[in-house]
Amino acid sequence: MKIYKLLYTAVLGLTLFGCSDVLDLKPTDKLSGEDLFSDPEGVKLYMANLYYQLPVEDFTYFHRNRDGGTFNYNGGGPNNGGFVQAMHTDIAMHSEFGEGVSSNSWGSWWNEGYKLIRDVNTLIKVIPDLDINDQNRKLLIGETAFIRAYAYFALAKRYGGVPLIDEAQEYSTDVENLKVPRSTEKETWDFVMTECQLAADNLLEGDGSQRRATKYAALALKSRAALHAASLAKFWNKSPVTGEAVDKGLVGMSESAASEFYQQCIDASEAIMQSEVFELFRPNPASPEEAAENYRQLFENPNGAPQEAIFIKGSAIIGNDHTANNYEIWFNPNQLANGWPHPGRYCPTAEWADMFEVYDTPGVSTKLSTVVDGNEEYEGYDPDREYIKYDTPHDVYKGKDARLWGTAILPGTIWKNTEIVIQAGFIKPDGSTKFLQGGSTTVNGVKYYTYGSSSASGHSGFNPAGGNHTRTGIGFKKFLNEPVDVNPAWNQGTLDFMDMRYAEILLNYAEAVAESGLGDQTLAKKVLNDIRKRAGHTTEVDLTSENILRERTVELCFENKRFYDLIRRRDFHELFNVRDRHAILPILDLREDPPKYVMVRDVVPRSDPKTFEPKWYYRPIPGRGANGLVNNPLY
Amino acid sequence: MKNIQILIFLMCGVLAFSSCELDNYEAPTGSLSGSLIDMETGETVQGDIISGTNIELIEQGYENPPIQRLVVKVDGTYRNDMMFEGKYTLLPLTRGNFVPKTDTLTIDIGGQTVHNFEVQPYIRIKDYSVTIDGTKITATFKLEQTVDDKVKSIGLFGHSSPAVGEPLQFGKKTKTLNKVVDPTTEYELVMDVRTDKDFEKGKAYHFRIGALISADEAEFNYAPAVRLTIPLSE
Repeated sequence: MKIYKLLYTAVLGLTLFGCSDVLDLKPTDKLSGEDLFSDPEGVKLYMANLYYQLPVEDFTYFHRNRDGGTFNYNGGGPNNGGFVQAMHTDIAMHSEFGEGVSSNSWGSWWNEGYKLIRDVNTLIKVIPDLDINDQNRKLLIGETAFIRAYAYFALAKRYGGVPLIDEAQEYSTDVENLKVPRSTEKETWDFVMTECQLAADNLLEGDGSQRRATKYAALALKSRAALHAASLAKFWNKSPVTGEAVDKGLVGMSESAASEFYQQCIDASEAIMQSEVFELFRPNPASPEEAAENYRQLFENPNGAPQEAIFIKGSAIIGNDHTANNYEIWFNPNQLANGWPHPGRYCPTAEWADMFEVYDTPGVSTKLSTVVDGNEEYEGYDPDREYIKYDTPHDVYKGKDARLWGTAILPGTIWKNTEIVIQAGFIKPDGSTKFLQGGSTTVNGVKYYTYGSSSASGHSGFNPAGGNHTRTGIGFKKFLNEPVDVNPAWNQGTLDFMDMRYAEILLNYAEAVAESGLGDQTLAKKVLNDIRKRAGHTTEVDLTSENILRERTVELCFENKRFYDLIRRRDFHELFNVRDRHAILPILDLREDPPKYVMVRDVVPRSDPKTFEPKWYYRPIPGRGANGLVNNPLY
Repeated sequence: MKNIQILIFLMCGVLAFSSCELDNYEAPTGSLSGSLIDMETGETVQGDIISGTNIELIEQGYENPPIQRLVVKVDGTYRNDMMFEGKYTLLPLTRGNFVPKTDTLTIDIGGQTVHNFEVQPYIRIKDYSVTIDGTKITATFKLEQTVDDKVKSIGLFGHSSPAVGEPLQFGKKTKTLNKVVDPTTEYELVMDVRTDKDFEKGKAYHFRIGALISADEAEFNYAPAVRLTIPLSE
């Protein structure tokens, strides 16, 4: 027994001496804050990480809610599955899955947002003490303000009023002190405005080739955010909601706030316009065909357009999950898949094609002409109706705005030296039809196939096999690299993305002027028509809401803008109330010799109608059990 | 030594069992049900189940409680047999096809609690009839409105489900009115489903007349759904 007592005391004694400085040891694989920020290269490293975390809605943006957050990747790689936010609006469909507006159309960015804000606040705190000259200090102040403005804009867009944390919080054991209540929506947008202006006042001039924030990038951000805030204030009454969040002003702003924000948009946009640093890329095309190709090339190589690009996010590293993208493999047409098993996902809709003007009758959206009697409001083939007969399946798109031709691959046109075959079926000489199914028929000794070719690899439309064929009758080529064959491997796409470009600023300006009555009406009308001129139009249109929205939708299509336009103007619930999206079916009419094409409108095959719930104008606040914040209405 | 080992083993056993109590909570035993009743006619008020009226409850006695929502069905009734018994704050009933209520109540949910709501529906659909001729469905009806706001629109909705309504339809025929209506005016809506692939000949579908008032957050008021079969030959 005595031995045990001795042993026990010895062990106790050892433990007393054992735990001396273990808790004070410094880790040898991490840098301390002082060491990192005292070296300018260290600051640059830190800044690169802040830029990486920026919520830029670019090619790799994954909009849906998923565990662990959104942005930049989806289950192993960017664009996995080929899902984009445009498929949740009226302008695009997914070729295989039922993508459409839902509670999942835009995901949470709360934890990631506050992490970025904390990281940038940490840097902001040390700026006054850094050993750098005043010029560089100003630039740092400007750049961190830009990042903070960008982060709070992304939060305000999704949640309305949010807790405004402008200093990195110190952790103590008093958890209650860490809880910051939500500011009102007005205060939050005001904060975004002041941060943008602080950035603009401190940053240097520059164009998109900088790949970092410039004075004009900050002003462009302000123009965009101010327009968003102004629209929310002006159009709140289109879909008013009630609840605690509304009573406290956490969501919802009065109409009087609208003119304040419209003025800020006007001022920021005018500052960019008057700088004379920017202009539209190739503003005077000789013909619509040239305009279409100019438009397409602007996106294939934004670095060739520094006069239009204001803020570019570059992708250079192939094979890295979080920078390179996968547009090429998921969105090129089926015939050019080159071994990739899931191409052809991006399908612009018939309603998108209907929006574009026709050069002969400019000034209005002109629906594609499919029937002789001109009544285009129908769904499905009616044998008693007379359809217009076309020589080729893309003739129906002739005379349409160059931007349609520059964005989409139309049936029977050439892409990467291949004729892209998109066909939905045929009408036999006896009048019987075979649509949306496999099959063939022989007429005058020639064999015709419903989808246009004998095997699935020879066509790119309507065959449900693999979900690899467009089901709207329209293919996609904006942002794709024509000269390069598809490489069927992950993360090969290195096209750079213009997050902000001059055309958007002009459209923001025109809308702000038209909606508020402030600003320069003549100038706004001029810039609106400059954009149309770049697309080959030779006539002018007036500065009306309708014309501006049409220009905005067709010019900025598929650049992750349409979704937010529908949100901020409260158009989503009106547009999507048990609403189908539609396709244009090219049908080979074998009653004619030589065969002609008729185009038939129908609901997109295998699709469901979608409804937008008003509560989706705001996201629910996460983590409420811990942070005790007031939730958004109807959640 | 062996005695000590057995003793230690038994002690561990006792410790293990005393630290794990069974944490089965009691299953909910409460039930709350009821109807939305037209305060003038005494009938239940029909509505939509999708994006329709929700009964909002907050269970008392907890910090940071979420709002619990009970869904009101198409026939105007609601039921939840899996409520925990106890006191609840019942928030004012709003966002429906009736004049919003303003009173917050406290209710005590027990084994079989029934709570009806007396509401004033915005619009009552009167003298209605829905008939079919070939592929044309004709609805005739009159509207009686109980508030001063304008009637925004009227509609005829068709679907295979008896819960048919504005959010649940294969086809519809709507008309914008934007005016205050007279209870003697007869309205007619005709829907032709000849080219609508969702309506198959020989099958039965439900058709419902609806009317929407222009008040904030208002929902459609309905007449009961009528079941009609699309005849095989035209």
